[in-house]
Amino acid sequence: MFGYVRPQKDEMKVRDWNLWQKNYCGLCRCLGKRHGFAARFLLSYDMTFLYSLFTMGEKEITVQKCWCPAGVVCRKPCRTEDEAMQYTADLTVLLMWWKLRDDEKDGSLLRKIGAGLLRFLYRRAARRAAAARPETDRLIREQLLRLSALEKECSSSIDQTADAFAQILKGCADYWQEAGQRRAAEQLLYHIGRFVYLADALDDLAEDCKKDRYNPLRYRFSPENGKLLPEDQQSLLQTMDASLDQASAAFELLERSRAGAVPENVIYYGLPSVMKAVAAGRFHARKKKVTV
Amino acid sequence: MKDPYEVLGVSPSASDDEIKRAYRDLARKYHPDNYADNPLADLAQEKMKDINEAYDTITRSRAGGGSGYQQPNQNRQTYQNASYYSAGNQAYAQIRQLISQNNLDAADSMLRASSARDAEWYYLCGMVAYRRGWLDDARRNFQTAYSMEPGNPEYQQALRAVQGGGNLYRQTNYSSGSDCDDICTSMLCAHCLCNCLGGGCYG
Repeated sequence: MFGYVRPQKDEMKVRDWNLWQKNYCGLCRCLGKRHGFAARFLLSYDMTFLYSLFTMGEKEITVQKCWCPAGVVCRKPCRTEDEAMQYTADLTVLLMWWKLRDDEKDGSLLRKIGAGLLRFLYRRAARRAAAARPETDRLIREQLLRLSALEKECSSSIDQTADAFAQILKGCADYWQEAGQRRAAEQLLYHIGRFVYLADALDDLAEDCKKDRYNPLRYRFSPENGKLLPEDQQSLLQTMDASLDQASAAFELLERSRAGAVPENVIYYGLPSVMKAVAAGRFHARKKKVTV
Repeated sequence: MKDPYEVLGVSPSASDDEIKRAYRDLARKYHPDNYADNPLADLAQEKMKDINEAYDTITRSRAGGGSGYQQPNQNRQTYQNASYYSAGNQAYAQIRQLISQNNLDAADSMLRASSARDAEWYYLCGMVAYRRGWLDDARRNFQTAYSMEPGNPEYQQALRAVQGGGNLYRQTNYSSGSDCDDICTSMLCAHCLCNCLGGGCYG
């Protein structure tokens, strides 16, 4: 379910890209410090986006140099740990933990073994994160259970299946204190969750058809040879675009400082380009044509 | 009260023209038409009010007044929620009220209990789904309502809202990656022409 939220670097100002990197490196360091070295591998752009969104109201940030295990020699500027970063780090671990549990239950044998090993590796991190955020832990568990129940009964409603995932993200809006702002954040995160779920479903459709796995699009539309009919694809893209509209309408109501340019880029440029790439079936393509 | 310059996102030294431009851009962005039927319409309305007040304060203080209460600018277009529906059906009026209070579960169960399956019923079902963020279900219901009663502007507007790409303020041209070969080719041609005719521009 990860990898669909990313910035469009080409459209970013250098200062925004630098801020993005400081957030990224900061989150990586925080994951390591809080949950052990292995947790650094859970770092993703999706979670960096969430952190950037949480902190977009701040006018000043503190930065420090820190050692990067990927770069080894060089020390990178990274944002110092704060409340939002700790929350994002815990969230990262919890999401991965429940995802792995899901794989362990339903996946193929190879997947089950892999997921089991990883779960063993991350067991302490997950325990710590769950102890720190019991409510988030409960929400994720509940919604993923709901999702697997819908999968078992082969639900044909893309809204209901997407809802289960979207509710998890919506839960993160607790971070906003003021009632109006929280409502806007809930709406924003809900629709980003919905969008990501549908993008993932579209992206996996061909493979799911081949391996006869559940995919809501198989039951909502009737794909042939793992591909949607052009009018069905159009209709799916329309509803994804409508989610982006709702997300951007909500985003515009959230208070932000200059740092808001980072999540803005993700919402207005990153997500639409991901949608186009997934729709054209070249999201995972190794060779790409790039417009200059 | 908030700093009016901060609300408009301009510096206090900005020229009158800059302020007017900032005001217009913001007013276009938060215009209630962009938030028609949106669950966050009230927040947008509040924002719009702040923007109007900030603009009024600045123009008044720059005009030399600055003190004393003045009537807010009456010429400005005020927005009211258009209500097209006929108040025919008591139950529907009640359901509409529940939806506007965001009491979606109650509205949903009332709709399920009702035996009518007319255009308005489908519209209201769509509205409940829309408020939940279930845009696919919402669109299907709106489409049914609209096909039953094609002339109804309320259904038409709702349908537009769930079909995406409807937001006026989303003017940014997001670049797509690679599928604009036609544009690329024509740009290349244009580039060649430029080079041939006025080669000087590139030195």
